[in-house]
Amino acid sequence: MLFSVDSEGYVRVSGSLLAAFKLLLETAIFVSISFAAISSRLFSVVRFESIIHEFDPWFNFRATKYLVSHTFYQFLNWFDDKTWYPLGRVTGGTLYPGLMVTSSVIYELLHKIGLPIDVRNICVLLAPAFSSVTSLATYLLTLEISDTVGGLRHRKTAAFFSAFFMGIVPGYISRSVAGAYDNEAIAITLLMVTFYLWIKAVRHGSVFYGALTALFYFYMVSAWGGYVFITNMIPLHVFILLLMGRFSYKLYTSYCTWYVLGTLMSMQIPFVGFLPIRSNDHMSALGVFGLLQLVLLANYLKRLLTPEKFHRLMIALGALVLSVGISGLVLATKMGLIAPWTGRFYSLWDTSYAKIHIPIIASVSEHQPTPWAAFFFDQNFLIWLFPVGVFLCFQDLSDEAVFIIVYSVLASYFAGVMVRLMLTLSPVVCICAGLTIGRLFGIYTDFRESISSKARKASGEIFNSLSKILVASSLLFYLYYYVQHCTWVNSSAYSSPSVVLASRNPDGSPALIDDFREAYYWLRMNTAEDAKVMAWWDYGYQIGGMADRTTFVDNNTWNNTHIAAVGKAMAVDERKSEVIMRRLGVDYVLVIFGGVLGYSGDDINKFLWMVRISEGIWPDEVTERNYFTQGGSYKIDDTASPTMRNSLMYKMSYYRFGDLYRGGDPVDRVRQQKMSAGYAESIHLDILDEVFTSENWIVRIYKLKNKDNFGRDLIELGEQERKHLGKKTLRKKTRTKPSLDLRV
Amino acid sequence: MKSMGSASLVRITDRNYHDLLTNEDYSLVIFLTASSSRVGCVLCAEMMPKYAQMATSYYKNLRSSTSFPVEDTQDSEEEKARFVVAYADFGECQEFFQGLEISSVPKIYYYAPGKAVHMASPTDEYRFIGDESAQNFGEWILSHSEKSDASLFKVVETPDYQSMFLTIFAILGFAVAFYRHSDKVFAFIYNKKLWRAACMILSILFCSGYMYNNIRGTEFTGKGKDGEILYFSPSQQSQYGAETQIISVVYAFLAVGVILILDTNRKLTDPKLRFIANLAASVTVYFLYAYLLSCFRVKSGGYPFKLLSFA
Repeated sequence: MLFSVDSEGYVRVSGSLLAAFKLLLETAIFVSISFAAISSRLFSVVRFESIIHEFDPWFNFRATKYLVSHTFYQFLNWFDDKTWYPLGRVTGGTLYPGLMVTSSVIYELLHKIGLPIDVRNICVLLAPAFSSVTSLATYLLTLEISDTVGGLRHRKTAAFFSAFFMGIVPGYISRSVAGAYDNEAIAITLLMVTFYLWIKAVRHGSVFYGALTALFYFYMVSAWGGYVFITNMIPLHVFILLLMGRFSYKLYTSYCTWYVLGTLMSMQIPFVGFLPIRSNDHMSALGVFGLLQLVLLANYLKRLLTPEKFHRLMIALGALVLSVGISGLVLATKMGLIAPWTGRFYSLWDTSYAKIHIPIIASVSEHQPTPWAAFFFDQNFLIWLFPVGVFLCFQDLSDEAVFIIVYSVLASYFAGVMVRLMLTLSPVVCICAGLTIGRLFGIYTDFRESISSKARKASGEIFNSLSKILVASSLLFYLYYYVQHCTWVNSSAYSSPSVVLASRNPDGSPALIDDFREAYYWLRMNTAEDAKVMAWWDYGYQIGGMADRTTFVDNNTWNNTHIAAVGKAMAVDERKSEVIMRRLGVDYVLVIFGGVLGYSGDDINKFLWMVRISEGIWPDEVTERNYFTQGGSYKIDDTASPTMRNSLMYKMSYYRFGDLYRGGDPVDRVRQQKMSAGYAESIHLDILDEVFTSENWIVRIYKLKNKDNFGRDLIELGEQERKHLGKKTLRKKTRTKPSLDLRV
Repeated sequence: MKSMGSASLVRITDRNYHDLLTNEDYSLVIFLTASSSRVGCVLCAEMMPKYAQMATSYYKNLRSSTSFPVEDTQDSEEEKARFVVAYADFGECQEFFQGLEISSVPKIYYYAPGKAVHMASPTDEYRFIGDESAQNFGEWILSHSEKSDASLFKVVETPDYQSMFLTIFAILGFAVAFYRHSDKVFAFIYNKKLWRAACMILSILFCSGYMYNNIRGTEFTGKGKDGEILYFSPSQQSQYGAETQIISVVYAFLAVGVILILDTNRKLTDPKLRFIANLAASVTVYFLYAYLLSCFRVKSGGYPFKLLSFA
């Protein structure tokens, strides 16, 4: 008999059936959490198509394709001559290979079992797939924590809630929608798995789990520069435990195993190399490692010596170690053995550092501080359950709970300083909120007492049931609302590929603006295979990935001077620019122009950064002030300053802009400025030929004219032509379409 | 004019700038800055102390040099080689800044003697590289005059004795207090409740945008179109100082409400009392959350959800 009905009317079920039922239920919950996590990341695929998003993912995609078609060693030694022309880039040694290796392994596996899935689709769907693993890891981590937090009647409830929160929290989805093929896509999963294994190692003091932690730490190092967070988080945890007087051999075993193995393995990544023993980012891990040995020694001596002797010895030893340590650190830094603290590290602690010293960091919007609305937007009601979770962790301050406390305070500080670090905060918010909700549900959804016949007679039972119903229903409402919020945020804010833009037709039907791909495809089909395309660095990865042409600068901003050279070529007048472009070997120039459509992320809006960066290198030739009018405003219409008007970027953007309006006054829709028709017509280009302009004018491509056969100056030639031709013929001439207008 | 040439760092205001600019005898160096947090110029705040240090050491060197003070009314050759070192803050002299026609700060202008009348076209302008020292400014000024003495621009480090003593006394005081009452201090450090409160407060503060205010130096409140006071900035990307305070208080009360609901089960045994406490806490949480949402709707225009409508 699997179940029977007893005398009181209760159904008694046998243990094995119950266990099977439990397992089935848990699996069902997991499947639905994974389903929710994956499907809420598919908005962009459904709405647009299976496409790689934004900028950096295009490089990762290109690198993955390279890895799939070459061997692993070829990939590690990859010297990319298609970027940073003519310098090239040692790509294999300057990237985190984890992401590419992961997807190529998946690719190979799928092909082995006879599923010929395209690399692109694997890359697009990698992040959603990994997000479901993240939920699982969060579940396991919370389960470990909730084991030690008192008062949780159903510890799995808390774990399931945190997994569910983690699955759809917008703070994590922002970096892991389908198509966001970036390092963070797998890094957060690895972060959670590493932390889970670490907690497991600390609980059991096991070398096995310590080694596993090191293994996943190595995977994390290979995948994301943010591994430094783990490198500092674990030592900090250990350090605080030591301060609390909680040294144990379990702690010693797990930390030493992790540190030694993890450091050795992380040094195998070419890009990391000897950083773990040289850079100050990693020094805290080394310091805690040393400290643990000393504490171990002290523990040993304590057993041998009398308390008095031990006390004296400790003071002497402490002073010695402190002085030797500090002087050693100072000496090594002075001698250059240890790298100075890196800029990114500084910008986290000294909040005004980045603004002054690293303009290229300051210019990136991801590095801005976070206002409260962003926290609420990304976490919804979890953000006010978060402190309650911290409160709960303090209840029985177990070693694992200390970890969560340290993690919460540290991560919330970092997330406050830098928007992109919201990503590392989200997991701990989900864990804390899961603990809270799990606890609340454990208390308030337990109706066993009210149902049993004995309690029904008790007088206050009605109030007990009422308060349970009240709290449980309000919680359910908040949860329902959380799902609504997350779905809305994910669909409206985080699901745009930014390669394809969404807009609406005049009649309200949805329309796609596909200028970027149109232009890149044109480049791919109509230019020589070794053509060199000059564009601002934002578009470097996309040109490399989509058009497969050589670029001068790209989003890997390793050479500031080279970027400044491109910026200067855009910022100066035609004559000077021609010299620079010929020297660089430019064939085509690509500009992004949003004036027709009102696309605000265009090159004229980024122009000041080009000017600033090139001014940093050539202050005598480029001056930011000259690009503003006398009154100090940034104008592009008839009143634009002469320097602005003569700059190549300005000319490339507005060349033939007037033709669109057929004699009317053209209006720039981004800057809301109107230029007169006559003025718009006078904008001319002598050294470049317009070869392509996309449907909505977002991308415009120019070809650098060949040198004149008779050695004449191109600009003088243009001047003469304009003088000789009458106004009418000039108009007619500019109206003729370029011969290469092949739209495929 | 003479007094100006030999006093100390000159502060330019809308009242005195005319006299200063019409002077014919001295070279003029002006540091243009904007210290108001509304402008939010970080570089200005960085550079000002260095510039001031350069100026004070210049005047100090000048005073200790032998040719000073000069009693006769006629300016000597040596005096003509001197500089008037001044600074102007945008908040105090907007008229002056309009005359200069500049659009960005900080700037350092140099005017050769008699050239200052043409305000908008200085003889030379200093180029900031980002990590200047006071010495850099001195060398730059020096490069404009052959006559002036290089030793005048030697930077004199003036140790800040006041803060030095303060720090020493504070450390000593703490050390003595620690030694005397070490048991109390340890009790303080070992107090779990204290750490718990500190951790919760820290995480609430960081999550309500405290660091944003710190880094950006935001205004406490803003002004609307009709001049009314705005406590909430209408954009999701920015915020006012008041917002952090309001939101952190809301978060704190929400957390306390949830903790109350958690604890009633343990602390209150009477079911009726427990129900009343639960009801009160739940309603408070609901209203606070509704208020939080309405605050968020102010900032994010298209946000479709709300719980209650607050005026």
